[in-house]
Amino acid sequence: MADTLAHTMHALVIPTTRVPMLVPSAITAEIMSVPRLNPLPFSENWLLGVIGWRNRAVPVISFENLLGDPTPPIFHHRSKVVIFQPLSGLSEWDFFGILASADPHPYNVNTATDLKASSTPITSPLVATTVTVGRTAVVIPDLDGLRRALYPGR
Amino acid sequence: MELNIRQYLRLKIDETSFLLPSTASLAIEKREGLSSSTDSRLVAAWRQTSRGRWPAYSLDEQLQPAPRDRWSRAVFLNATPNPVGLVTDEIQLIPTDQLHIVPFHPPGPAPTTIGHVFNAAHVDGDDMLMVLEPNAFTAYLLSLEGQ
Repeated sequence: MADTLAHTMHALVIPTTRVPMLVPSAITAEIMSVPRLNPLPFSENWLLGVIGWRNRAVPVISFENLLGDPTPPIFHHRSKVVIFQPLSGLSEWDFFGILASADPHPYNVNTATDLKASSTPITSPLVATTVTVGRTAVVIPDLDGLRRALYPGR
Repeated sequence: MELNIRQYLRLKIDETSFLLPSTASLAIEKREGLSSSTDSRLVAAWRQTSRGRWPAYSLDEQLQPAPRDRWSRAVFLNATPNPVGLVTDEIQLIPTDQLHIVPFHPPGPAPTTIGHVFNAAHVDGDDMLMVLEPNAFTAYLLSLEGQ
């Protein structure tokens, strides 16, 4: 039992328009319906707006746009915002959200057994690797790369 | 973020408002007290002083230069070589105890050499007002002078 637990990681598959993401559940804080997005002047196309969450100002991003896809994301009733914990090295209030095209679903990763490299990897400083979950290619984000993209110079 | 701010100015531009620490304001002038501008596309009005004239810029809700007819006041910030201003529909003084100001780091590259023009936000449920960082916002206004 202990051996099984030691080799299992609780993860979330976050559906997006382009390619789903696979992230450890521990780095997420909440999944919510899309609240009012307040526009932020001078922002890049990947910053969809800022939301009020738990009395904090939290930016919400489109991971596809951050990867370079210029197409604006489509919002619909199934869209969600996944709130992430502050990335390593940032301030304790630097939560951020990523737009999901639908509810994320839990996925337990048993190391060395479940994840296989995708035959169609996505090459980006924001992507650590592309793997398959079932028959679906998913990206595992490079969190250091994500931090550098979101907060250059910090 | 300055911690001893007691009041903020709420600067209304069309349907959006921004907060500015009141300590950053050098002067607030009514439209009637300013000279209209005819020699610059971006400057809405000038404040004439004994040491020269100060430009007041017209910006839209995204803080991009845009001519606007409907404004009533201008707020000026201290700067070198001359103070610079922003025209607004309305300016309201709000005590800090009526606000919930939290630190905020805008993601992405900063638009000025000094940094991002926002460094905090007032958050009340879904309602939010961004707080202008005076030095960076002044640098942004100064950058408009050459355009």
